Amino acid sequence: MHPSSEDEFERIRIAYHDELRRFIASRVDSREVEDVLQDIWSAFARASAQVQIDQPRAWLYRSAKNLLVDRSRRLSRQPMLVSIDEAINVGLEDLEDFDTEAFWDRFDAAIEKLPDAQAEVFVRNELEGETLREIAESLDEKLKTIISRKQYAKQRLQAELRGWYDAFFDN
Amino acid sequence: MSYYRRRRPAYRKAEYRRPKHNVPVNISEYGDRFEARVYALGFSKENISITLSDDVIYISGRRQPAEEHPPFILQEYPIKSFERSFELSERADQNAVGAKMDNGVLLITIMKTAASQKPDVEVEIE
Repeated sequence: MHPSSEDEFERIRIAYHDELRRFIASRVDSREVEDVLQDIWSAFARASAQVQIDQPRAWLYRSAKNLLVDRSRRLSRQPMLVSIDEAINVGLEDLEDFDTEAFWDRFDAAIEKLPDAQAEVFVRNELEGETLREIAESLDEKLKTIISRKQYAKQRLQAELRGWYDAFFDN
Repeated sequence: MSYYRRRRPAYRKAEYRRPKHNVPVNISEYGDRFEARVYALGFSKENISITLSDDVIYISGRRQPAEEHPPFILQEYPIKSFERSFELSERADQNAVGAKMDNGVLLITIMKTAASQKPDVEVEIE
């Protein structure tokens, strides 16, 4: 079978799509089934454009198996719980080394470049000691939104101040 | 006027800024779950909150210290507030997170998803 035409590809897709979906659905989280299916059909389309695939069903299952094994191995290596404190916090206890007018002029210029929403979260959390939860509640925002703003603010300040103050950001 | 512009003059005064201190955490992995122990001595469970927000678990505590500005010559532990944030991978079952407090240690248990506990898939080819 050589699914070189769109019609042939569609015929094979109709023939095996549902059983392939059931096979995948029994092995991965329901939210990921469509993504995995998409990967398999994309790989099938690429392969069939280059070589003749005599047994498409076997090819699809072999591809699904390899993809699921790779995914399983990747997941087992992935840490389940990763601290993101370093990505969020700055560590102002180190500030004494830089507590000069020159530093604050530079800091002012850097923070003025941030969007207001990010600057506010950074300042309230890092300089004024409010927790991110307190800020989220007072702004009536999702906590994840506030965490993201702080992360972006730190990244952008880090980029602006890098060179002078690598040690300030401790990395 | 932006929030920063309104508050800016204060930041140049060292006494105005609040250095952040955090509580330590140990994390253990078992076959079916992860356990995070948050050492939050001095913070009662009423003053600690845990929030799952998308793929992030956020833990914070807030209390009123006996002294607002203790005369520390060394400080390594927070007396007023703390916050810790962790990103959860897709192996974590966000619907199966539990927490309990015992002697100042907050134990958070996060179960692994059933899918992440399955062995590698072997498929017979017809």
